[in-house]
Amino acid sequence: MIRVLVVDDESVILRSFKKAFENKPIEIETSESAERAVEKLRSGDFDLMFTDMKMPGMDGLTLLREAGRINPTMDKVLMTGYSTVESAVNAMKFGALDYITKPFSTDELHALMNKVIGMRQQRIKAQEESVGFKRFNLNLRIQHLVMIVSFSLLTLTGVPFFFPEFFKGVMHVSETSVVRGMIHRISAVVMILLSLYHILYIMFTDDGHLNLKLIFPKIPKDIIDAFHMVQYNLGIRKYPPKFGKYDFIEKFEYFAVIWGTLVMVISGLMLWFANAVMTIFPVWIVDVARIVHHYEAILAILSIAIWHMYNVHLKPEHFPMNRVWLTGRIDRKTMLLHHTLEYERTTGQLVDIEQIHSEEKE
Amino acid sequence: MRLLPVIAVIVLIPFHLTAQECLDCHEDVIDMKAYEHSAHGRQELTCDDCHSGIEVTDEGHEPPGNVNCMECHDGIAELLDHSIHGYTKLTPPVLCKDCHGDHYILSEVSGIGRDFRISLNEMCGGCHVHNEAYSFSDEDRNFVKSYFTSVHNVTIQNSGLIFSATCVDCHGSHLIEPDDSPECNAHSKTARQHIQNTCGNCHKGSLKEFNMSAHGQSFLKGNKDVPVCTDCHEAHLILNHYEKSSMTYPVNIPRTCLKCHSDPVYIKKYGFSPLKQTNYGDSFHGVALKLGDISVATCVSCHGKHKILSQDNPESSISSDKLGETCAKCHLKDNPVDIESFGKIHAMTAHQYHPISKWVALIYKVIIVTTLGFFGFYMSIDLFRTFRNKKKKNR
Repeated sequence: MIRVLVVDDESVILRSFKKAFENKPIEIETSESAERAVEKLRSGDFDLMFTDMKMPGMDGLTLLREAGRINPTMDKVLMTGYSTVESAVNAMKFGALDYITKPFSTDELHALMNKVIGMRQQRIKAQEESVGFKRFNLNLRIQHLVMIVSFSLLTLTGVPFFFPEFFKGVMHVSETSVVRGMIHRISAVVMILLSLYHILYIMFTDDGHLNLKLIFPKIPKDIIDAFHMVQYNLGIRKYPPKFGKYDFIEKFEYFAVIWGTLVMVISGLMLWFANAVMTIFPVWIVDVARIVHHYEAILAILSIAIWHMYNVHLKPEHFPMNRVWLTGRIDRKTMLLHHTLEYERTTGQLVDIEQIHSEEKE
Repeated sequence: MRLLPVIAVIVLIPFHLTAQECLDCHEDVIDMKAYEHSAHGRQELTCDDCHSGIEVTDEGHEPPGNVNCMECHDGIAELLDHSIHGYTKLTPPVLCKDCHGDHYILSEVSGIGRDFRISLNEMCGGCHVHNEAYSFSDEDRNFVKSYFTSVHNVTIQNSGLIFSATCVDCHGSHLIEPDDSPECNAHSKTARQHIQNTCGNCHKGSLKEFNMSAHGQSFLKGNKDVPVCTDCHEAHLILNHYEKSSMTYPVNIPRTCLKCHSDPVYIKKYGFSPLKQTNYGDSFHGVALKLGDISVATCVSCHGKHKILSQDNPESSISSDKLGETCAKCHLKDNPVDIESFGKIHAMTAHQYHPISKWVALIYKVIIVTTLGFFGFYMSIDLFRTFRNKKKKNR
């Protein structure tokens, strides 16, 4: 559905628009003055605006400029009572896609509308192809970076425990593992603070809210998606499922990280403050904490080293690296193919999956 | 008859050579000044007291026979008869002078001088390490040599503490009996049954504790399986516990104890917990120790060093009454909370995993294997699809 705002002081023109697109998937909103139009632009999201040049009060060219500020992605078309080269040039200068000379017939209007929508789609596609789509904002990327650093340090200073003989004496000062332990604990505190920040982020920011909503598992869709994807990979289905911003794997990874962090933080704190724990609980609790910390670490490290590294580095479509963690953006192809529902949600454009995939194959 | 000695002296005087007479010819052989400071010189013994039976004629005299020290030092003869240096008829034989020197005994220039304990290692080592005339194996020579780097010798050489143990303190001097021969075994200071007393001569405190310990008690009853000093500290290469290669360096302690405590024969005989069932190696202490962190507890931290007692003994550091105190030595050092409750709960782990620990470990293993299996499956079908699509595209 395309939303169009028509601005003209002549109500005949407004009515003719309404009539012309009565049964078309085009929503017409009208305004009799530029001032009203500005208000409407501020409150609603329009794809296109048709505006008259000469109006009492604010004129068409001023409105064009104002509209460009309010909604930069909207396309604009000028309507003039007298066609001159000068006014056409002016219209283009102020960012209009095209112009039309009044009076016009319904057919002329249809033709213009088709042309303009076509141009708009071309323009959007070209823009999408050149800049891609925003996936993660700077805040989330910094959170991810802090996670990488703290996770790596924790791994580096924790792995010696799996191969104590091999790492004998490494990161030691005066025959105690004080340096190793210190780096481990500092990194742990960083990760805990990051987790707390992340909780605040998803609770109190719009972006956090939205992303939480998008990453929250949807049953049964995600389960069906998983089966569907396996079938697609095996060649049983022709097309993959339509994923939202986060596919079932990304959702799984996110909640696995939450689970892992929770388990590691609790068991880690129990080991850090073992003396206090032992004065309250029997000592086997500390033993269990140690075992849990040990195995959960193996699980986490292997998941990152195998699963996450495969998905963001080795996977053929991303090799050698998916740059989204640095740029925060993904390209149009990935967006359409892999986050189809997210594309539909953000652009309002329905995606024909068959068409996309046949395009991709060519 | 009473006059007989007097007559003998009078008769013998003309045949008695004075030192001056010997020096007329042998001035280059002996430094009289140094001799006068020696044990014999101080006693005013002269040349022919040792080099006896010399008759000087105009042509000079016959070469003197071997000096027989036993003429005076007759008590030593008996000891030497039983000593490895005496009875084995070594070639070349070990003579008194090999150890004591000849003319300047107990003087500054003698083999065994006043400060002889400092050079004793070199003196014994002269034959036992360096002299190729004896058929010692390299292993034996190195074994003797290893004493040189031991805490005993280093203390003497570097700190001048000459009362630290030298060769003779453990092996004896004139009566050196080997510990590997059945006939001498009963008396040898280094025989297994005497080791603890030999070491205990100096280390009296440790001996007292050892004799009270489970090891010591069993030892006193004649049990020869029980470790003695040298089993944990070595015989020659005894090092301080902070030396990394020492058997008593914290990192090496488990290996030292496990020499016996993981021996299948002893496990069967004495019912030790087999190594597999104890969790020390996987425990926080054990893993940190393997990493080289010596601030963590090793066997001796809880069980004691010399005074190791069974946990059933109320005196034991691991008895249910005292375990709390033992753990608190490290754990509640800075924060003395209720040690009693701390100990009681701690007493529940007798080196065995709690059943819940085992279940948790098992569940995690299953989760890890399942997850990896899923990763493998999904990654392979993902790659399968990618390459199939690529093939189609290329066609």
